[in-house]
Amino acid sequence: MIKTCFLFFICTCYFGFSQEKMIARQGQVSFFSYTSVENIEAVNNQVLSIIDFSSGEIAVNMLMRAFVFKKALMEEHFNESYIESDLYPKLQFLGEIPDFDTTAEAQTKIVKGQMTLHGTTNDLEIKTQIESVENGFVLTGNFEVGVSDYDINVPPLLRPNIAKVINVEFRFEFEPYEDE
Amino acid sequence: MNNRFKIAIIGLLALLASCLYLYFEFNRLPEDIFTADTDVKITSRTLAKSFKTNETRANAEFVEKTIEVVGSIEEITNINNRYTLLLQGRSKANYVICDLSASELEEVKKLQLGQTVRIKGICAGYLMDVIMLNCIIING
Repeated sequence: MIKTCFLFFICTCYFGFSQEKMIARQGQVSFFSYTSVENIEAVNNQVLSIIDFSSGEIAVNMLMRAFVFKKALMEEHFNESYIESDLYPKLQFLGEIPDFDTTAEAQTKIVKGQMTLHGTTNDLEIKTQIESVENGFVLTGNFEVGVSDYDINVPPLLRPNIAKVINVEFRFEFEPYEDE
Repeated sequence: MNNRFKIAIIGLLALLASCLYLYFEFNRLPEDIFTADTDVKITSRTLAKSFKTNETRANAEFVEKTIEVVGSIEEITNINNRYTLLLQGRSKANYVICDLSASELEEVKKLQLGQTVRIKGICAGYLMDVIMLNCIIING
């Protein structure tokens, strides 16, 4: 269901009503896994997001293969063993920003929505800081993701290396959307 | 030298070799894009059109491949301390996004909008645009 809604939202954004929408083509999402054995972090600088002001909806779409790690082995394990990027290449989030005040310089909102990762969809609430800047908005925030909530299997031998809860941070710079 | 001593030495050498292998494998860096063999040479318009026409087929053909793409620069961005080139795609709202390697900080400053460049990088896939990572400028 969320995939259908997401596709509808993206298609609607793609083919019309550009003046009511803003886009961030190069959002940044990073995650951190802290354990006593090792710390793992990765960053994705090419995350797509669109806000539709008429409905208050926000959609986020990212390629799991676009996460960059410091070490090649971590990246291979992430894509091949845990996330299975060939089978589940994208993460999708579709949510609503309640009472988005486009005239406020700064505001904090709880964005409620559904996130689909590794073929599993869960409800999510994300505290988001929204800052008004010249020609757009910057959205920042962080939240936690439970590894087991998204049916991600970690081999018993590597369980001490991977945190059960992963910290995620994001930053999106939105600008007016010009469609085709 | 008795047999027990020989076995102990061989065992120690095997253990040392295993430890060295694990150490280097664990600390292995991503492949150097400068020396990586190019799998595909293509224009940015054709690459973008391939993904728009049939994403599944284009994923199989291009994702995780080292690609040299030629195209006109539509935008140069510096967001989150990263330089990115947006090459012309199949339309105004569709690009080939080239996330530049840190080694290209000086080269990117010489580029201008509308200029045709050849970029080498790894294709990560398609969202609204084609995403290329770890890109270097072959010629500007």
